[in-house]
Amino acid sequence: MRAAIASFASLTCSLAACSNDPVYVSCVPSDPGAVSICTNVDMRGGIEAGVDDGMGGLAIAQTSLPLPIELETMLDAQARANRAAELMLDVPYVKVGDIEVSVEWRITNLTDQEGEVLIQLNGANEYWAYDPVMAAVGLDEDEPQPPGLEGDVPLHIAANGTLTGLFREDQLREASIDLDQITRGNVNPFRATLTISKNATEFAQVTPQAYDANGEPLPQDTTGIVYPREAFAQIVRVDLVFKPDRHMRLEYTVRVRDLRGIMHELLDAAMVEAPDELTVFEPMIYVPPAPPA
Amino acid sequence: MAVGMKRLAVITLALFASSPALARPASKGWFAEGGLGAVTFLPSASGDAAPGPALNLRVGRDLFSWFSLGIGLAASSHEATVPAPPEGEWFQIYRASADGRLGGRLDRIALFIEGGAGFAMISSNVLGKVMITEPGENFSVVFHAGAGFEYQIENRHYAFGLAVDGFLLPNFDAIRALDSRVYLRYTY
Repeated sequence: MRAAIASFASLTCSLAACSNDPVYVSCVPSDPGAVSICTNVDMRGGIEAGVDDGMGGLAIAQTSLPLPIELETMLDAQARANRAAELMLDVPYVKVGDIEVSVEWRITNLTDQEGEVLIQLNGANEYWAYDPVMAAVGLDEDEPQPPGLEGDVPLHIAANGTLTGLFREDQLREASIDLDQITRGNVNPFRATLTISKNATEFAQVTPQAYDANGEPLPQDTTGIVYPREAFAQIVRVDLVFKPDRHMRLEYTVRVRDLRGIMHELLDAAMVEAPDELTVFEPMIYVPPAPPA
Repeated sequence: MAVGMKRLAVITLALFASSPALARPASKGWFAEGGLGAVTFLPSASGDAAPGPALNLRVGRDLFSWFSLGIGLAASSHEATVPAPPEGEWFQIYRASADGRLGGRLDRIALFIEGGAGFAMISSNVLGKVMITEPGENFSVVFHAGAGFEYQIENRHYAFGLAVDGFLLPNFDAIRALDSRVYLRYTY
């Protein structure tokens, strides 16, 4: 019976090209008794910000959604190790092109006054997490602060209004490559985010940023290491920073087209029902070399 | 006596008019149908999925003039109207089933009722947000039943039909929907 269902499923899938069908990972738990896969969200899967933070400012909110990716098979791990040996580079488990990710969001203005809001997209691949706040460590406050990977565009929202939007697949692809360039490639975050790399076939690693005695950045040279596209690391954790100028609420859903078939079929429910089958990535937080004090 | 004869003549004429010998000829045997239509969800799923276009294919065989067996494939596409986000996302339902059809013909019009069972697949988990699908659940058993009529054109191989079937997907929170379609039938 199981074989018959599997045959039927594979036949139907091949007819319907379902390998390209999206799956949706929501901050609302798919099982009412389960915990949300997202951090910092309330019971309804959203975050609120824009209220007085008690220090004279407005509270901002951050949330993360790690993608439920299943364990790497022995075969895949072996193939990856072989490829890494050939390239003499680290080849990630989840590469750009393995999955296509987009983020749909909705902001609700909870006040009766119109306002503005910024939503910034950051993320982590399996090696590094990028947080502009950490990337600003050591920088003078008057200096331009490191940018987010995507977003950060002021959006107007009507009183008691709602606003919906999307970080598209190509924006997430660009963000993934920018993150890899910033972290493994030592590329300046401004340069990485201000250049379009989503169709890049490779990028060259440069030397870590160094400063002269006056704190001025020195030119960076290439190290000779070139990362081909097949070694670009894909974002596997979506981070959002929510910065409204009054009390607002953010809800979001991550949409994934799993081209390689590496997402766990239970998605967020796998955290409870099959936690041993999920890959736990432990990326390091990226902190750029600081100029001399 | 004359009145009695006249009544008999009318009854005889009426019987002749409805007899198969005068009905428009129609082929019987293997057949194929292709149809277009729409699938509309019934409450409680109607708030979470919009009506969408549907495509139906069915092949089968007339075992008798009044009974046929068939297998059918159907696909329909719908906008998910779950609470945003996501918004404006679409999903598809694919159905494959075996069915039986009981019917009769009155000259060029055939009326029938049908019913069957099979499998259905949903293309994404977008309805998981409203608990219609459970995590990892893409397949369901499907039961369907409905009725329709066919219009036999002068060529005995071809007929046009209109049918409405209700179907039930027990594994997807027992959602119910109506599949209405117009179709062209070819009988070999």
